[in-house]
Amino acid sequence: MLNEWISADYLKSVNELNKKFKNNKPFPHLVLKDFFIEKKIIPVLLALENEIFVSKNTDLFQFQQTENDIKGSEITVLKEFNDFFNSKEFGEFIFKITGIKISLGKIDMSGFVYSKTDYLLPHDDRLEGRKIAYILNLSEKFKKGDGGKLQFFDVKNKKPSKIVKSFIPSFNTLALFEVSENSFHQVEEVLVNKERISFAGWFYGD
Amino acid sequence: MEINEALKSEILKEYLNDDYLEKENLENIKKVLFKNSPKSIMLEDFFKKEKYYMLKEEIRRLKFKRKYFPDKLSFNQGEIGKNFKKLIQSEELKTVFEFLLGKKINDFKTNSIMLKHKDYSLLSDNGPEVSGFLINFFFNDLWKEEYGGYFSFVSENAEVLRLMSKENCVSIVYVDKTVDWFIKYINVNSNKRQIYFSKTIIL
Repeated sequence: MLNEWISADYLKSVNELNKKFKNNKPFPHLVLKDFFIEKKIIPVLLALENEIFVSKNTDLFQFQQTENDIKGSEITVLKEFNDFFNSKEFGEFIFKITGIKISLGKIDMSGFVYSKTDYLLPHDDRLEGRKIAYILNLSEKFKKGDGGKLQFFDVKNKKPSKIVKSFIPSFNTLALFEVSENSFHQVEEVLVNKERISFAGWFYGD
Repeated sequence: MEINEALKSEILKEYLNDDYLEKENLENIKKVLFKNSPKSIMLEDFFKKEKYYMLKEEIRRLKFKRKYFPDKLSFNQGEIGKNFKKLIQSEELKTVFEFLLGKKINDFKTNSIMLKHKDYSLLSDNGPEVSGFLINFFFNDLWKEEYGGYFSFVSENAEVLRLMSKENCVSIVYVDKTVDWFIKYINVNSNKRQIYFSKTIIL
């Protein structure tokens, strides 16, 4: 099942990924380019356009989010994608590459669209049971100055101080990070007329 | 100092728009302020035009220092200008605000704030640090809601009041544990525009 979805290179290098995850700074993370097999992920991206999105607007963020969790989607392709993400096999793979114990079959998944002026300000994601945050980026053609970057902060005296890592959105890239008191991150404002499209959510523990 | 005496003073006649020198008008403002929920009012065209432009010029020449606590706020803070300080620390203006707020004011603790693209403030998990009247004197140019930068007052997770910074306006809002506030992130549409205001909290 895993080899139907995930690029072969990643399935061969589990130990290496686990080392990288643990050692990456400012907190354990991985950013995996070309993660899914393209012929599987492109239909997922296309299907996402048919989901209903709603505007979310608070002090902390502004973006469009799917009205419902993808697990309740009536679109077959999306349902299958969610089932794979929530499967025992994929959960075990995530455990192997992160070393973090997660409850199998217990994830959240929403689709997000960030348009020009949308953003997500710094926060640590901590909420009961959240163990690993993931973001699968599906937008193409983002350049350095376009905004929309996922950015990680270093932490001094338990407070985020400055941005130390930035990732330009790129198609079919999966970012994973451990949710902890150090996992301060943000999504930089989208500065141009492009759409930053992603799936994101969390793997939960007991 | 009596309110009538304050309203006849040279300093207020020099600075304040004539509408704010009439006791009857101030009584009406007070009524509206306390009737609104949350207690709030926007005083438009507060200063006489030439004085407004002088104070605006003054605040723009101040030195601002960036305050950046990523999970709380991003803005630029400065001291207050000489002319504004003289006015805000005058017994006369204090008397006007005591009349409007219906309470004794010990001291105006004021600082100048400049906001630009990428600035914001977030709600705190613990609610506002202090309870009292938040008074902002705005000195910015034309500002549009689509730039962000508006002041959102929130009670029980719902916005109960949204204030836009407006040229030559003074906003008064009562904040406490039930009404917190944040400044909406200022986005790229703001271009190089800036919001300047003097912020005072009357406890």
